[in-house]
Formats: sequence, C-alpha cells, structure tokens
Amino acid sequence: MKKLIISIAILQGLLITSCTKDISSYNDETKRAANVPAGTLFSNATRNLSDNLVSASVNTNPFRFIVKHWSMATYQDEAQFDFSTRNIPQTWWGAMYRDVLTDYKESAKIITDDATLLEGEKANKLAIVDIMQVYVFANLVTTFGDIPYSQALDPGNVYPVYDDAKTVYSDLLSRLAADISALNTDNKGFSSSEDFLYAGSVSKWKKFANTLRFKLGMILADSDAATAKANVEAADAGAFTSSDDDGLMPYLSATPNTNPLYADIILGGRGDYLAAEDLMDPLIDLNDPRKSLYFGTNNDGEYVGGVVGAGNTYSTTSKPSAQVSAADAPGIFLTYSELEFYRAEAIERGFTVAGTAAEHYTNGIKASILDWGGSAGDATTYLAQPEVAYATATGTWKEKIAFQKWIALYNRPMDGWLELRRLDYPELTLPVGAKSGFPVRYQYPNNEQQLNPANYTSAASKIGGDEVETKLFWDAN
Amino acid sequence: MRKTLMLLAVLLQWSVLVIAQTKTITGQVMDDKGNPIPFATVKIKGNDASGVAADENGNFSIQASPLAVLVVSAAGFTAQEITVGDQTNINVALNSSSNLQEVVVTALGISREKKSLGYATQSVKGDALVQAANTGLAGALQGKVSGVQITPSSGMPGASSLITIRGARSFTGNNTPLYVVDGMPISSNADLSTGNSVTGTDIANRAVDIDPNDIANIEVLKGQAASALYGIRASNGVIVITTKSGKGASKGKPQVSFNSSVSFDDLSRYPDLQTTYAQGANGAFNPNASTSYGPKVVDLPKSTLYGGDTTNQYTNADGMHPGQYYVPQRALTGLNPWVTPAVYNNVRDFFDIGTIFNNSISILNATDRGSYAVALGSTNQKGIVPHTGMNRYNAKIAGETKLSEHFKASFSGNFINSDIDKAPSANDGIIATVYPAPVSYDLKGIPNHAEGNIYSPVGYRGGAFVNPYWGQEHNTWNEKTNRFFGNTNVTYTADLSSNMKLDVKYQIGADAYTTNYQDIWSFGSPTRGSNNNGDITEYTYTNTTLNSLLTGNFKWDVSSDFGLNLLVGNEIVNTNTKYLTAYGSSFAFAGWNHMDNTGTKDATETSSKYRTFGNFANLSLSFRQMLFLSVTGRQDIVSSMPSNNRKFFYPSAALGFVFTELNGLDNSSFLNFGKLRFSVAQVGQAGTYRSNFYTLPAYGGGFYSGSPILYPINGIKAYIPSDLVYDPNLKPQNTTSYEIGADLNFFNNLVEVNYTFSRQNVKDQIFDVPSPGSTGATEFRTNGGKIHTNAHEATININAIRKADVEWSIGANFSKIDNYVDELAPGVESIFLGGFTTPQVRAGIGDKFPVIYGTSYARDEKTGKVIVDANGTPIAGAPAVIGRAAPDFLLGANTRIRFKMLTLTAVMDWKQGGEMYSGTTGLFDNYGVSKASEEARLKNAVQFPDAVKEDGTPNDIVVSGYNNIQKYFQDINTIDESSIVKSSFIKMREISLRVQAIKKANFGLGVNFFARNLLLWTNSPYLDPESSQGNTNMAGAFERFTLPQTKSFGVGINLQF
Repeated sequence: MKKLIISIAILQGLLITSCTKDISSYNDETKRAANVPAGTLFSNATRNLSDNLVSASVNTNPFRFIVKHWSMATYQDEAQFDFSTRNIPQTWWGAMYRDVLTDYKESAKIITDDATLLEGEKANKLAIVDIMQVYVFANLVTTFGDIPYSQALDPGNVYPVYDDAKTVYSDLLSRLAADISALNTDNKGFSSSEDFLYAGSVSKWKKFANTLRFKLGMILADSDAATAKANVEAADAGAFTSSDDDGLMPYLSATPNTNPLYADIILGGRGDYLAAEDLMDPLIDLNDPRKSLYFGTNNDGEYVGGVVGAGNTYSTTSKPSAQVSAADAPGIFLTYSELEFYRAEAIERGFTVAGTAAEHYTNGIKASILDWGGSAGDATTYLAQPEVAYATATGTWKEKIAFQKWIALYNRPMDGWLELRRLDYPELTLPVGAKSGFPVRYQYPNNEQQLNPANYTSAASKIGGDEVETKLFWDAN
Repeated sequence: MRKTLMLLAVLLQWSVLVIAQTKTITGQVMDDKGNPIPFATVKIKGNDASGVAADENGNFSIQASPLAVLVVSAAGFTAQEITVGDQTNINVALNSSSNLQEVVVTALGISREKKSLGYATQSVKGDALVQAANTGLAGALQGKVSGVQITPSSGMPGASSLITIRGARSFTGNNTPLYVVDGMPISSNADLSTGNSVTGTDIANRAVDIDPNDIANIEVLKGQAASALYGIRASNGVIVITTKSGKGASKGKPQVSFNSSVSFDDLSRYPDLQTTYAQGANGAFNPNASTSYGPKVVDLPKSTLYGGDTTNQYTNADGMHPGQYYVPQRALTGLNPWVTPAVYNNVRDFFDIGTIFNNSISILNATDRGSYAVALGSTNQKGIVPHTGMNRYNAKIAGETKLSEHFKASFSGNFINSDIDKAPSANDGIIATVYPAPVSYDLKGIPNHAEGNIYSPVGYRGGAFVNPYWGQEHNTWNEKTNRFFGNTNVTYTADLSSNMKLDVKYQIGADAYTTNYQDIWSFGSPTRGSNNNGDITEYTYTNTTLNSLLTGNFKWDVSSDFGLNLLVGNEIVNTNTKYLTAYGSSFAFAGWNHMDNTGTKDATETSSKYRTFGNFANLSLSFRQMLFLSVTGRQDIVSSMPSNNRKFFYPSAALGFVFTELNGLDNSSFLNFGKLRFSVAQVGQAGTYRSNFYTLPAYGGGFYSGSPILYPINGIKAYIPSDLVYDPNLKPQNTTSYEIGADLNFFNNLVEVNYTFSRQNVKDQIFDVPSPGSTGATEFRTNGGKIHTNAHEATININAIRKADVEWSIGANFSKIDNYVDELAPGVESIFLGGFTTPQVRAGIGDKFPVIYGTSYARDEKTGKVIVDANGTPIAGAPAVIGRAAPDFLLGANTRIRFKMLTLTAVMDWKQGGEMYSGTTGLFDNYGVSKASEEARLKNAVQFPDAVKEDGTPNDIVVSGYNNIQKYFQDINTIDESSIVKSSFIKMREISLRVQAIKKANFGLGVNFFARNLLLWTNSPYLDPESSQGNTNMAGAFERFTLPQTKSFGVGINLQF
C-alpha cells in the first residue's frame, strides 16, 4: 500500500514540475501567425491604400462630389459637405493609420529584423516601404494639418502628441531624398508578386520616388518657394518619362479582388452616382474625347450632367462610364500626366526644369486622353482648338493649367481636391444646400477628440480651429 | 430509443420478481425521550413509492426484503436508516433535528455540515428540479434559489440562458457560475458569442448537455467565500451538481427508476394584434408592402389597382370580379388570383404545437464492496417553430469500490449526444415576417414558392425578408455535439489515532466535446450569395479539458470542545480548444446545399491552450459546535496572463456563530436554532493575453457587403498586425466580497428563515478600450473600471402541516441585487454589449448594469414631459440612457401540498421592475399591426398622452386623417425610447399534480400532470418579456424579432421497482 502512495506522490510531483516548467510558452500563438513575411504586410497596406483612394463609398471618399465631377441621385449629405453624419474623417484617419501605415511600419520592422536578407535588398525594400509611408503621411498632413507623427503608431502610447504640419512635411521631404539615394537598381527589391505597383522593378520605384518628391515640392510652391524649387529641381531628371512609369494598382477581373468601384457601382447595384454638370458642360463644349470615356449617357442616349447637392433623376442623367467601374480598372497612385502639369507649372514659376511650359501642358493632356483610351489623333484634334492650346487658351498660366488638370484628374478624387485647394481654380460654385464654405481640410476624427483630448485640443487651437475652412500652412493663397 | 428502454425495464422487472422475497416488519417510532412520534413515514430506501405512515402511536407495518434499508423519517426529526436483515420487529428512536444538521457539498466536492458554514449556500433536490419535467437545467432552477437570476433567451429547443449569481462582475467577460458535476468542473458557457446579437441564430450554452433527470442534488455556492477554493474561477459562484449514485442504495436487488413524460408546447403569449386593416400604405392596398396601413380588409374589392369591383389592368384582363380582389402572389404560385377578402390568423397558423418526449431510466445498486449507478436519458423535442427541435441522449455510468481497508476507487463517466435544429432571429429572423404579416395575406395557404420552382420563394414582402415557411423549410441552422465528461479517483483513508483521521484523494477528470455548427442559406435565399444562390458556413469547436486534483484532508478532534480540519491540495486545469470555420458562397445548382457545391470558399483556424496551476489550503476550526471558523488560501498560476504577471493569491475567511448553543438560549422552543454568518473573500478572474501576432485582414468592400473580400490577391497572402493590442501589464479582474447573514429556525423547525446581505467590489475589469486611430491600433486590452453590487437575499420555508396524511409547506426566495457601474477606463463613457449604434445595450458609468441607450424623446426641462411638434408627434431628443434592464427584485414562491397519495406543487416567479428594448413591439406600430394603430384609425383620432407642446402648454393636438395617423405611428417608431417596455412579470412557473397510484414494497407507480409557464401577467404590451437577443451579458435587455417563449403542459409516469 505504501508503494501505491509513494507512486501517486511521485506522479503528482512530476505533473507539478512539468506543468509549471513549460507554462510560459502556453499563450504564445501557435496557430495564428506570429511571424509573417514582410511582403505580405507591404502588399496588404498597398492594396488598402489603393482601395481607399479609389473608393466612392460615401463612408470613405466623398471627393468626387467636392471637386464637382460627380453628382448624387438621392442622398446629398456628402455632396453638401456634411462629413460628420458618416464620420468620414474618422474612417479615413483610421484607414490610413491602422490599415495602411501600421502595416508598412510592421513590414519595415520585419525587414530590419531579418538577419538573412542581403544588405542591398534590405536597403531597397526599406526605402520602398518608406516611400509609401511618405506618400500616406503627406496625404494625412495635407488633409488634416497637424497630425500625430513622431509618437504615432505606438499602441502603447494612447495619447500621441500632434506634430506641427510644417515640421512633419519637411521631415517627409528629407526621408524621401534619403530613400531615393538609398535605392540601388543593382539590387533586388520586393518580389514581383509582393510589389503590386512595379512588380519588383527598383528603377521604376526610383522614378516613382522622384515624381512624388516633385509633387511634394510643388505643394510648397506658394508657402516656401525656395524649398519647393530645390526639391523640384533635384527630382526632375529622375521622374517619370512616360505613362509606362505610372504607379498603378492592378485589380483583377474576378471578385473579390476587383476595383472597389466595381463593388460600389456594379455589384452594389445602386443608382447613386451620376455625372455633374460642372464637368460635363466643359467636356461637351470643348468636344473633349474624354466625354464618352469618363461618362456614359442617360437612358435617352444623351450626355447630361446633374446638379451637385440637389436631387437628380437617375434615368435622365449620365452615369460614370463602364470603364470607370470596370472590375480590373487600375487604382492610381501617381501618373506621368499629372507630373507633366506640375512641370509646366514649375517652369512658369521660374524653376529650372527641362522643356517648356507649353510642351509639358500638351504632354499632360495628351497622356490623360491616351490613358483613358483615346487615340493620339483625338488628342491632337482636341489640343488644336484655340480654347485648349496653351498659347491661345484664356486665363493666366495658372488658370489654364489648373483647368486642364482638374479635367485630367477625373477619378482621382483625393488629388483633384488637393489641386483645387492649391491652385484655387476653376472657381466652383458651392453645391446646393452647402453646409459650409468650400472645405480646405478635414476636421479631426471624433475618436481623437474623445480618446486623445488634450493633444487634440492643443492641435486644434494651434492650426486656428478644427474647422473645414481652416487653411493649412501650404495653402497660402 | 424508447423501445430499448421499455425492453430494459421489462427485463429488469423480471429479475426483481425473482430476487425479491419480502416479509412483514412491524415496529414503533419514538423520539429520543421515548415518546411515540405520530404519523412518521417509513419507506424502503431508493423507493419513494414504498412509503407507509405510522399511526398516531407511532406504530407501523411495512413489507420489505432482508436486504432492504428502511428510512424512518418524521418532520422535525433526523431521518434514520436501518438495514432489515433478520429483524421482523424494529423500534426506532429519532433525534430531533433541523435541516442544518444535514451535510452539504461545498467547494471541491468537500462535504461539510451545513451548520458549520460561515457563508450562504442553497440546495435544490433532484425531485424539485424535475417536478414539472423540465428538460433544461436553467429552466428547472427558475424561482427556486435566491440570489440567482436566470434569463432565458427564448423557448426554442436548446435555447441559451444567462445565469448570474449576485449580479455581474465583468462588463464583456464571463459572469456565469462555474459548474461542477460530481467533483469535476465542466464547461457550461456557449463557445461562441452571438456578438451584437442582431443577426443569425442563438448559440446554445453547454449547460444544455446536463440532463436534470440524473441530478440528485444541486448546491448553489453563492458568495465568493463559498467558492474561494476555486481561486481564479471562483468569482461568479459555483453550481455544484451531484448526480444520482448507488451510494446508500439497498444491496442485492438493483433499484430501477423509470421516468417518462410527454409535454406539449405552445407560444406562451399570442400578441393581440389588429384584425381590421389590409396590407398597404396610406390607405391603399399594396401587395408587396411591409405595412398594414392599407384599406379595411372588407374594402379590398374597391381597391383601384387590384379590386374586382373597379376597372384596372386585372379586371380589364379577367373581367370584373365583384366582391373579390387580385392577389399577385396567388397568381405567381399557380392559384386562382381572385379571392374574397378574409382575415387570417397568420401567427396562430405559423406556430405548431411543440412536443417533448422525455425518457430516463436509472439503475442504482450497492454491493458489499461499493456501489454502482447506470442512467440513460433521452429528450426528443419538436419546437413550436416548424423544423426546429432537439434530440439529446445522455448515458452515465458511475461506480465506487473498496480496494482494501484504506483504499477506495471510484469513477463516473457521462456521454452526451445532442442535435439542435434552430431558427434564426432578429434581422435574419422568421419572426420579422410572422408577427407583422398582414391579416389580409394568407401566409399559410398561399404556397411559399413560385409555381414550378421551389427555389423561388414567394411571400408578402420583398428584399431579404424571405417567407418564413420557405426559410424554415430550406435553410439549416444546426448544432451537433458529442461530449464526454467524467472523472476517476482514488482515496486513501486512515485513522491515525482515535481522534485523528487522514484522507488523501487523487482525481483526474476530463471534459471533451466537439460541436459542429452549420448555417445554410439555401439556394434561392434573397440577397445571399451571388444571384441569390445562397451560402453555407460550417464551423466546429473542439474543447478538451483535463483536470487533476490532489487533496489531503486531516481531521483532528482535539477535545470534546475543539475540532480542527486542515485541507491542502493542488489542482491543474488544462484546456485545449480549436475552432475551425469554412465559408462557401453561391451554390452552383439548387438542391444540394453542400460546401462542395459552392463557388468561392474561405476557411479559418483558431486554436488555443490554457493551463491553470493552483495550490490551496483550508483550515477549519470548531469550538463547542458553536463557533466555526474557516480560512482558505489559494495561489493560481495562469498561462493566459502575461509572463511577468501570472501568480495570484486569493484568501477568504468565514465565521459561523450558532448562538442558540449559548447557555440560556439552548432550550428555547420559539427559536430552536440560530446562526450568524460573516465572511470576506477576494477572488479573481483571468483574461486572455497574447503577445503580438498577425492576422488575415477582413475588410468589407465599400457600399457592397454581400461577400467578404477574400485573399490572396495575385497569389500573395496578406497579413496585418492584430489591431487589438494587449497590455503587457494585464492583471486579473479582482473581486472583494463581504457577506453577513443569519439562519433562524422557529417552533421546532416549523419556520426556517435565512437572510444574507453581501457587498461585492469589483475592480480592474478586463476589456478592450478603443484607441485613438493614430496609435495604429483599434483597441487596447487593459484593466479598468469598477462595479459594485449590493445583494439582499432571503429565503423562508414554512412546514405548516406535518401530518401523516397531510403535509403542507410553503416557501419563498427573495433577491434584490443592485449592480452599479462606478468607473470605466479614462475617456470611455460606455462599453458596447450588443445591439445597434442606437439602440444598444451598454455599460454606462453611474448606472445599473446594463442599460439601454438610444434616441430619447425630447422632454420639457421643467415638467419632464415629452414635447410634441405642431403635428402632435413627439420630437426626438439626444441619444441617452432610455432603459434599465436590471429588475428591482425577484421573488420565487413555492408550495407543496400532499394529501394521502396526491401531491400538488407549484412555483410562482415574480420579477419586479426592469425594462427592455422591444423592437418588435415598436415595429408593430410602424407596420400598422398594433392594436393601438387600429384603434386610432377606427376612431380617426390619436393623441400622445401626457405631453406638452413646444411652448410648454399641455398637448391638445389630436392627430386625425388616415395618412397622418400612419405617419404619426411611423415617426414615433424612429425614436428608440418608444420601443422601451416594462419587463416586470409574474409567472406561474410550474404546477404539478402527482398521483401515487401504486405503492408497494417492490413496485411503485406514480402519474404526474404538470404545466410550465402556464399563466403570465406582465406589463409588456404584446410579448412575453422572457425572450431576448444574445447569449452574452446583454441577455434580457434587447428584443427585436426574437424567437418567442413557450408554455407547456404534459403528463409523466414514474415507475420504481
């Protein structure tokens, strides 16, 4: 009997020791990924960024109405500048910080920690991830103003301070300059499947980075011409040379990895989105070949735009064209066409950039028409009209460039809004029932106000009030 | 199954007839002073039917075999057992008793004299549980225990129930007690939460696996001091279940008990809805409208578009049909579209009479070396909703044997197989198209599908609202479980000296189950899959828990005054879970709703391991049977917490003071027993911490949310860091509780009164605090918040008549539980528990837990009255707390009357106070099916009562005109507060009449007529308030097209031999 007691005691003793020994590994994730390849996070972030930039969901991206390219059939809230009902700033902010920047940051961390990676490849990958982070932060800083930056993306710090927008911006420019010099075309970058934009081509990424630098430089042109000039001139030679260089997100023709507009318009089956007369009328007046590429007709086969902010009848108004809502229509990050408009503007501003303003203006329009599927002949005919040709079109250089760029930035809602704020032309009338003046920034999200109140309050007062009409530092004119 | 049981019963009866050789035994029953006890009961142990009553001089005569054990009992005296053996004349002396000398099972299965406890416990005997043939444990406990609130979700087969003891401690975590069956803690919670609880189906909790018929006794350990030995699992109290065993059964002949019952279920309350107006809007008939704001049913032939009396496209085509009207759905389904208007009772038509067949057989036997028990049970239920039901089969085998003088071994094993067919509720629910169905539409008579195509559903509404008959016929909502739980143990017992005793026990137990869930939206389901081709979700949850328990107990009667008991032990609980899901969308062709038939598929896997390692000790001291002190301590090491923060220590102390043992008080006939109780305890509840990890993202696509975005894209997998980030300093939730109470027995135990007041302070709740977006995370799992509970519990039992032929007892259980949220995390005003953006159920600071939040009526600042606009319609105010779910008090009352062979028992249940959001009630107005909207239209007048106009003067606006009245009701419905209903009720919970038709020494036959939830009084206007959404902490607060509650009546037989 004693033997039995002893053996039970021993058994229990063994159980106790073995149970406490390995307990520390018990809540390590064994079935959910604790380690994943950096490329999976990079690609997911890029896809999310594209989805948000492309989306026409009124919960996410209402800018097609703000720039008066589209009008709405029934629900006018967003077209009338009501962003708070659907909490759109919070959606955008959350999407950028949580779904995009966090993924990029984690991706960079994994790359940095990867001891097996070749140094050259590591440098390229880190530079590419950083370029995309600069792209997103630039969007946030031009959308909101002061933003959490130096203390952002740290879940342990639930009260991140807001950094001065200008300081953030100049840091972004120096990061971008460093990334450009870090990119080495002799070494590999991400694999072709991980890299949606350029399928692994480092040289294309170098062009993308230079183009982005050109753009960020131009944004400063009104507020800090010297910095603008320095960045533009440094970037010009290395930037895009043709539409082949465009930064595009390739969507697939099969659900669910389609262009979000396919989901919003075709699968959603909703008759919400219509053409706006503000864009339709100049397209008609100038015999623009993009009219039938941008829009379809109404039910009677006519091209008719609707009134932004007012109720419009679906059947009698033009809809966005089939190619806008095509399943495999690419998501657009940066194009040669927009760069050419920037180049034209840079020359007019006296920056040293190759070529003439007229050449670049012409190239910008031509690239836009070709990108949308128009022919070279269409472009020549269009450009030959005196109302279009750079030499003869009416208005100042700024008005001429701004007007054509506004047309060319169709289906680029975020950039269309940026350029309207920067160039202040064309002068769009306020929509019917406007809830405010023309919005030049987003208000900070509700949850920042609630959950990070002290920092929110000081940032709001520093930028001059948390209103949509508060001009940001670069929006000097 | 039932045939097998019957066969078994017959076989066993034969064996009984062969074995049993009975003789007549006579004797007298006396008290300890030698005075005869009149009308005492003498029966054979394990055979209640065998009982006989002594005469007024205590003389009795009974038939019994030499192997039988006689149980002699009388009210106010301790029962005594005597083995018959060779005796033919037995004189019995009984000691006067109180129920406090009984032995109760406490934490970790330790038996203690009830008298010695310094905290509250309450027991429910097996026969009280099943007196009304309840098939579910939660329902069987309702109204029978104080301090316990039981909130059923509905009356559907296998429906979940929320049981809380003394309120809630956690906001979003677990508040339900630990279930311990025969010493082994088992899973009792639902494995999957119903989340927001506004779509899909209910998910059963695993307590559904327990068959009440096999329960001998339930001990409810209410306070934290009572459960403190369970450490980190102790905070919510414990339900200790002892199943029937052969221990103490008579030797030789096995005792067989066979119970069979059938019950019939019906809707507990049919909503009283309008019967005047037809489908339509603004007074015009519209055959696809969701609303019943059409013309009067009798006026349908005059409809301009569909009437047979008017000129329209249908009469142009078919000719005039005077007195009839055209129903497009009849045309679609191949019937003659022209029909004379009629009023249909669609609600009554839809619900079936449900049936429950319940069979159980138990065989108990004691042998020279031990005992064994075998039990089989089956429950076959058909719900009141078509195509719902539950089949549950339970099998148990348990035994105990003596190995040697010092060693004893025992085991107990339970196998359960259950299969539940459910119906969806809330937004996906069938009720959404049953209750508000227009009375003009023949929902049952018109086929549910188009002629020639059963996969093209036809109903009175379009969109996602499928015809409920079609939905129940074609869609599948099923859960199937196979489960084993049980344990085996070895005990070593030794008398170290005449006054010292040592017990060492080692027990190892297992609880393993797998549940397969299936949600299928059939081919043809509107808005499901592409082209309405349906979808399927299969999910499987597997849980394996192993439990090792070593205890050593040392008992030392130091002197006649002083006793000591020391228990030390170790417990290891190890749980592995795995959860697999597979989703397939769009069936390729109709008729085969199978994963293989779907176009796109997506699968996920989650698994986890938990281990708790605990060391504990309990020192109990007693002094002169008057003062009892018990001190416990337990240290737990928990794997699911951060590695720097895993060890926790939880102490408790309890003091019992039997003041009637004091000199001078010990002979009172008025107060024959009195005890004061004091206890204090600290216990915890662990959360789940994980180090950082990556997950697959799941984003919806823009406006369109039909099917989720699937990865990979272009051959690459996408990962994201978890957007829930864990606090590396996470600590367990902490509960400190204080309890005082008294147990008093008066007039020689004629009246027993217990009262307990307890206070719980809970801090450091674990929950997910929303993070500012700029942190890159969505939520942060951390500690925060405080909640406190004051609970008053009282029970009273009066044994009013204690005669041989007549017994009458009456009792009541009273609970008043006030549960307040004191604090949440900084920046967090409320925590979402379920529902919509508004209305929702949430925890809000300073309020009772939980509250209902939503748009309120705008109210006049001075008078607090509702403000109406110029049309007489109430104006919506800001979102606010619009209702409080917690009741003011609960009162359960029970009575038992026996007259000779007839026994009547009844349980009443009263819940006073509390409110719920009843979306269905509100939508009755919106849809124009409510009585109120009918009355307003008939009178052509409605006025919002007791309100003021915007200028502050009393509301004198009478809304008139058909369209205005429709608008009035529909506008009011947009204000969530209009759907708040009072949820107080009184229910006749159980009533049963038992006839003991035959009672012989070897054979007993009883017949039992019973009813459950038969009568209901409530101030909820249309529905039974005991049906609500969610198997989470939101239970009881939120209703929206929730499946209804049932009432039942039936008959059972009981055979014993």
